[in-house]
Amino acid sequence: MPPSSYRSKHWANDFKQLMDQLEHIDSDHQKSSNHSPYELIHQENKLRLFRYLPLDVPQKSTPILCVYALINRPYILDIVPERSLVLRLLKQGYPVYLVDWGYPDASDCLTSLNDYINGLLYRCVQQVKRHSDVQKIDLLGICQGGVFSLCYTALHPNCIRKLITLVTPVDFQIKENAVEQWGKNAFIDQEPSHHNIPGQALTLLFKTLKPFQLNREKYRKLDQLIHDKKQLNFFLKMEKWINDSPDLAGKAADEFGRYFYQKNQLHLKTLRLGDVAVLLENIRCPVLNIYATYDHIVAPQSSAALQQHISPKLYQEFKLEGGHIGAFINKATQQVLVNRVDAWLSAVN
Amino acid sequence: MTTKTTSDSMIEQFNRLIDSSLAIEYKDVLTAFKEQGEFYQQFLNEAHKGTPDLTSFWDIPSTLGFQTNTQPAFDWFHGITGSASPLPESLAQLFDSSNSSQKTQESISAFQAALSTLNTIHVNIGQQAMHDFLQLKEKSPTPPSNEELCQFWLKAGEAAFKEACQQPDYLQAQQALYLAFSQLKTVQQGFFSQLSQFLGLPSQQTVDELHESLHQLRMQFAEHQEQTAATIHTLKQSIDVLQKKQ
Repeated sequence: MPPSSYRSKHWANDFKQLMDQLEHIDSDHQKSSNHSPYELIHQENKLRLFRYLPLDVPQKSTPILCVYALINRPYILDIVPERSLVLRLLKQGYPVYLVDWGYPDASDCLTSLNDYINGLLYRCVQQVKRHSDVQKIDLLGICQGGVFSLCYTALHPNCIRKLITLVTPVDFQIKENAVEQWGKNAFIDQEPSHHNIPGQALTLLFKTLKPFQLNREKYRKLDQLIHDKKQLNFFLKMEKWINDSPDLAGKAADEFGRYFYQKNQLHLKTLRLGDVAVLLENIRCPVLNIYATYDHIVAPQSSAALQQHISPKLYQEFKLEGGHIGAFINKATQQVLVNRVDAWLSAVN
Repeated sequence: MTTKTTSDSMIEQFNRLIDSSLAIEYKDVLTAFKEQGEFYQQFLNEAHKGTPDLTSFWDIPSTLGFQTNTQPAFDWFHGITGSASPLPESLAQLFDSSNSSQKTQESISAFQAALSTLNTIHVNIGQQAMHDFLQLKEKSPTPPSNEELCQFWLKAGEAAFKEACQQPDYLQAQQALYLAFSQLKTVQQGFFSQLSQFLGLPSQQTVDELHESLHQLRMQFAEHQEQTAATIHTLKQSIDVLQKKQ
């Protein structure tokens, strides 16, 4: 019997098992996503600010505000309990808050980067300060959320005690990086249209970065999923997350493309928001910059460029062995990440 | 009396699930596994048969979900490149009477030219990938297993794509595609503007002004809310201090 025929029969059995499992899956249970419990503390247009309910452990005094990118959804930070960055921070006693930017619609097309950073994020920080009754908070910015956090901290240094940037680009002109090359390309010689960028187009763009891996290979190893319910559950949640990309508010997306990808203004110290210069050297708090060695979306060199802007006394960086998302959802890497973050946040600088 | 084969029963179950109330994300996952399962079986069959030309197995557009019957269409893309359904006659006349029709044709031509250049590069990627795949296969000390063949396929494909997508010709073609796409969007907006006028709907300029006003109001309202919340918080703190003093 030729190997392909054997494989075909084998695959058919596996596929049948997958169908059986999905057919009997409790969809309500899946949709509830058993995330860590939270409360809504602030809402503004589509934005929502959540506070995760503390666990029964000694509490730290300074809250952490998690700022995720506008691309994809922030629930990746709490996707399943065994891979939840939020849950691990809660277990360490950190009060955790999360910005959910929501799903912009056509009426949000004029929301600018200035609105996001000096408006929406500014008000979230003030809300967290009041809610937790502290003068300064810690910021954890992830990917584009890290860029926003850097800009915010440079513009409002008095509000932030410590800043953590995770897989965050700083130098947007790394030649070997496809996203940076393509991003630069997308904004050449075009008049700003300020129409929202469809989330579906962004999903396609990211799937194009590794076309064979992300569109075919990951659907090949069926047998690894059907024999492990947790793995299947995680796979389904990830699939949902990957395809759950909100549209990007047109003006902010256009500005991000031009200011960062095309002109590299943050790194070249020429960025202005709300007519104020955004200079990373104005950051006066300790910064922990964490990046991933196999990140195909944000090149490690792009993140490491932050070192050139922050005083050496305030700056620490840490490399994680992993990819862009795996860096903070892979079980082993996540533990290393949380240990490092905890040690750094707890240290008296 | 006919006996159902395993394959028939599998397809029946698949179709039943796709037509059922199962969550859409699960249907998408099932469809993806089915399509890719079929893809790999076809690939392995051809690889074992020693088919001389395997380049189609590294075809980028179909890998990304274009040119397939079952993959859902990308709404945003079709919305811009035009729908298949013809315009009502009165609207078509309106559209043809302006210079929009010519602009549309020019933009579509530019878009097709950019796509054509990109397709040539994609063909080269397929050829490079097949070349690398055959080399990996030849270098294998023992006849490669199915698993190894799939690994070789992946390695060859990703390497060929990574190499090609950083080259100036790829980047130029991509840039031309973006530009043509942007021009198509402009043409589409022009058409919508004419259509709005024809139907007596608010013009795009009016809609833009409304968006601007709404946006400003939202921001102003949020700032006032923030100021109010900050004032209330300060007052509460002052009251607490006073109460503690009493």
